[in-house]
This record gives sequence, C-alpha cells and structure tokens, in this order.
Amino acid sequence: MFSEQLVDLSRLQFAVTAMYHFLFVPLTIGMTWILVIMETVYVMTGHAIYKDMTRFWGKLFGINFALGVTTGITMEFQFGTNWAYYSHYVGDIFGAPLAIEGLMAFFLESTFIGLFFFGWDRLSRRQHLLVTILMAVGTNLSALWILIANGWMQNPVGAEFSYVTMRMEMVDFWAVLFNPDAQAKFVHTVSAGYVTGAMFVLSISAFYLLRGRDVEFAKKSFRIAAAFGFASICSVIVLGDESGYTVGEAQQTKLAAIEAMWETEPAPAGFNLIAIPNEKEMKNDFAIEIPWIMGIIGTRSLDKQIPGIKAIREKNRERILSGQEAVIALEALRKDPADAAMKTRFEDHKADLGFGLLLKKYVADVRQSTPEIIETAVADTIPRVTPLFWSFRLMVAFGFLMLGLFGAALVYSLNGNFADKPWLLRSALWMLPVPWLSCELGWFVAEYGRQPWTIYGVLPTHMSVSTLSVNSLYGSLAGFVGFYTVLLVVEMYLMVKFAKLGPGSLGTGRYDNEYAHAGENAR
Amino acid sequence: MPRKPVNLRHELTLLVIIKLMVIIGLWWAFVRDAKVEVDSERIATHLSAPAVATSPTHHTGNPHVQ
Repeated sequence: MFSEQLVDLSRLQFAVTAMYHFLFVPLTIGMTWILVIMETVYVMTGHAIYKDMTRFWGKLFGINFALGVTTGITMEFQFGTNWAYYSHYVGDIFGAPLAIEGLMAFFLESTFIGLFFFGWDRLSRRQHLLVTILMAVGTNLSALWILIANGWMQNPVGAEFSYVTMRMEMVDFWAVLFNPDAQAKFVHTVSAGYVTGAMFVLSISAFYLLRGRDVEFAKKSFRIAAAFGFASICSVIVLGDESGYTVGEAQQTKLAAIEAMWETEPAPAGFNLIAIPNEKEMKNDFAIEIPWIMGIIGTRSLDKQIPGIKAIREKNRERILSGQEAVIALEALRKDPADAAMKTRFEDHKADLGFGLLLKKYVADVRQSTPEIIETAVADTIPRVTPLFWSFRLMVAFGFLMLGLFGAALVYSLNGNFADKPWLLRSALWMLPVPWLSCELGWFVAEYGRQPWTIYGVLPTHMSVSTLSVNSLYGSLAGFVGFYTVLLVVEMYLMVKFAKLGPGSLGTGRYDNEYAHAGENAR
Repeated sequence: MPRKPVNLRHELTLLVIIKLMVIIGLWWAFVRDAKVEVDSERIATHLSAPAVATSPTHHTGNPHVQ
C-alpha cells in the first residue's frame, strides 16, 4: 500500500541530505579554479605571495573538502533503501553517470587533491600547477556526471520502457550525455559554485582589510575574487536564462508554475515580476507584469507561445487517459506476453505510461478510475505554484545583488581604491551566505518544480519509494540530520578558526600573527 | 601569550576517519538490513499495488501538500 507519510518522509530525507551536501559542494567547485588562478600567477611571476595565497586559500579549501567528501554517500544509501523501485525502474540509465562520477570523484579528483596538499615540496612549480588544474578539472567533471543524471530526471531522453524487464533501458547513451537539460544545468550549477568560491575569498579578504591586517595579501586576493566573481555571476545569470529556456516539456510545466502563468497568453508572454498566486482558483489575485519578457526568455522569439498551467493541465488530462490505456495493456502483457493486440495497444500508448501510473495513487485498478480521480490526477501534474514563484524570485534577486557587489568590487579594484571603501568591504563581508542561499533555492526550484515526478513523465514519486517502515525512516532521518549537523558545526568552527588565523598560519614569517604559529609551516 | 600551534593536517585526518566511522555506523544501523531487492516480478506487483489511503475527494486544485 502506498503511504503518503512514507513518500513525504522519503522526500524529506533526500531533500535534507541533498541540501546539506550542497553546502559543501559549491565551495569545492569554485575554490579549485581560484586556486588555479593564484598558482598560475605564482608560476608566471615567481612572487612568493601568490604561492602563499594558493596555500592559505588551499588550506580553507582542504577543510571544506575534508568535511564535505562522502557527504553525498548517504544519498546513494537512500537509492537502495528508500527509493528501491526508482533504482530498479531507471537504474539502467541513472546508474551509469553515477558510477562514472564515483570514478571521477574518488580516483581522479581525490588523487589530485592529495597531490595538491602533499606535493608542494615534491613537485616542480609547473608540475604542481598541473596537479592543481587537474584537481579543478576532476571536480568539475564530477559535477558534470551528477548533473547528467539529474538532467535525465528532468528530461528523460535516450531511454525506453521494456515491459519484459519492467524497467527503463538506455537506447542512446549520447542522447543522455548531451541532454540539453543536463548541459544547461551543468554550466549553470558550476558557475554558481564559482560565484560561491569567489564570494568566500572576497568576504574573508574584506574582513582582513577592515581589520587592517595582512593588507597586501588581502588586496591581491580581493582583486582575483572580484574579477573571477564578476565573470562567474555574469555566467550564472546568462546560463540561468539558458536553463529557463523551454527545451523540454518538463521545463514548460516548471516554467509555468515558476511564473504563476495560469493562462496561455498571446506571444510574447509577459513576465510576472511580483504576484500573489491563488492556486485554488487558478489565477493571480495581484500581479505586476512586464510585457514581452517571459516570451523572449522562454522561447527566444516574439511569436511563439508559452503554454499556461490550464493548457498544460488539459494536455495532461489527455495523457492520463492515454496512460490509463498503457497501464491496462501492460497488466495484460504481464499475464500473456504473446498477446499481439495488447502489445500493439501498449506500444500506441507507451509514451504516456507514466501519466497512467499517476492514477495508481488513488486506485489499484486504473479501469475503475472515476472522472473525479482523473481530475485529481490532472491536478497532481502541476507542482505547487506559490513556493516555486517566490523561491525563484528570491534566487534571482540574490543573483542580481551579487552582480552589483562583484561589479562594484571589480570597478574599484581596477581603480585601485577598493580598500578605501568600507561600505564595499562590509557589503562583501555580510554577503558571504548569499551564494549558498541562492544555490539551495535553485535546487529547491529544480526539484520541487519537477513534482509529482521523480523522472518527469515516466515515474511518479509515489511509485518510486520503497515499502519501509515509517519508524525506520524517522530513525535514519534523525541519524543523517545529526551527522550532517555535526559536520556543519565542525566546518564552521574550523573555517572561522583558520580564517581568523589568516596567512600567518602558514608560518612563512611574512604575515601578521606569525609568532603564534611558528612551526606550522607546510602543514 | 602564544597559542599552541595548530596541526590542521592531523585534525582533518582524524576528522575524516571519525566521519567514515560514523557513516559506516549509519549504514550498519539503517541501511544494511533495509535493502529492498527489486526484480521485474516485484515491481510488477508494486505497480499493481492497492491505492493510497488518501481519498481524492479531499483534493482541490492544490494537491501537493507533501
């Protein structure tokens, strides 16, 4: 029996672990390229301060990596425990990029991270720089495979359902690899990681400058972070727009929900800057609309329409009715695989099988679906509008706020007077949490916006969960939350501790507070 | 007064070891016996499972309370 409580708890557990995990990930992704930039300057100029910068910021990167590594493994646990049916149904496709990511993360990335920390006295300058570059490449490739897996959940291309094995089977690896949703997500997500890394360096450098300590070190770090951060936030905004482009049907549903777009407007559709969505009556009680913008962003044209929620619901009703036929034919084929008529019927409706499975939430035999049940299933196909509408706008607002900060930091860096602007330094310091908040909001929009599906149009969430006991889920949820909370507290403690110590913790004799850390050199 | 030198490498190594032990502990407690074996027969049965207890009559246009 499907239990809504079981579904809710499984979703909550996965969401919590994924969101904790993603507190560590973007900083790792972003810091690797900042380290590459700093070390490249060191190799090109031979100035020791750039080596110190690479080592100091590398130390903070190391803390984050040590705390963050393996935090994703609890999600792998959950695929086997909480999401066993999901894992069987789509494991043939979903498992492949995850397995490759495992090799990337644990072999390529970890090997070069080890060489980065232990190779300073063993490798030449150029060899060490190569190691740092490969570490960054490995980290980004790791993200690529995860996002290919996630992109497939949003837009399941290159796979077909087999009624013999009762699972999705990969028919085109290249379609999975070059899935436009996955590619757009990858570049958007890693750019967000770069912004996080840049903000981290910018904020801590601003802290030193406000305190008037390690000034030259902080100034050079600030300049690099300002330039890298500005380029990255521009990428995030441009690539986020690309991510919003309606490349697939899944994105259309999500887009309509994010925009609280109930009706299909004449092209080009307007953009609801602010609205108060009324989900019950499927209208906005209040809205401030900017003409044309949504149509241009969503379709890259002035004459293509973006379907509104009501139109999508109508289309989904047809797909549910077609899916009902697919489910009936599938059940018949399981009893008699040689039934040619049923096979033809199944093939005719196979594309809508997932929509038919939505009915299973309410009725065991889909033939007994009443009009009321079908309407409820139709309503299920649209995610909740209000949380998506506001979380998306908050994410975008944070994005433009960071654009302003990095833009100002870059302009004053080029003018050479940023250290005389306390308001800029304070803004940089106080905005430290913003990229993390944006990342979490972005993931919320991406994943909550895919509901009620785990794999869009293929597998409903309620069909994906395992039949575990609710008590065991409460237990594991508490265990995971406790584990991650401890890690987060330790991360914060170590980060604050070493950020306060500053480059003096390197023990090179060139920085403030050196007396307290003599003998720590090279650790 | 000078503070005690901080050996980050030792702290992180210890941390990673403790973390791995905790993860193994979590796996032992919650995952080891919770593995659900799924094959084509089982998923076919799952797809034919009885409906959820929720009545559709409670639903409005806002069904995603989960």
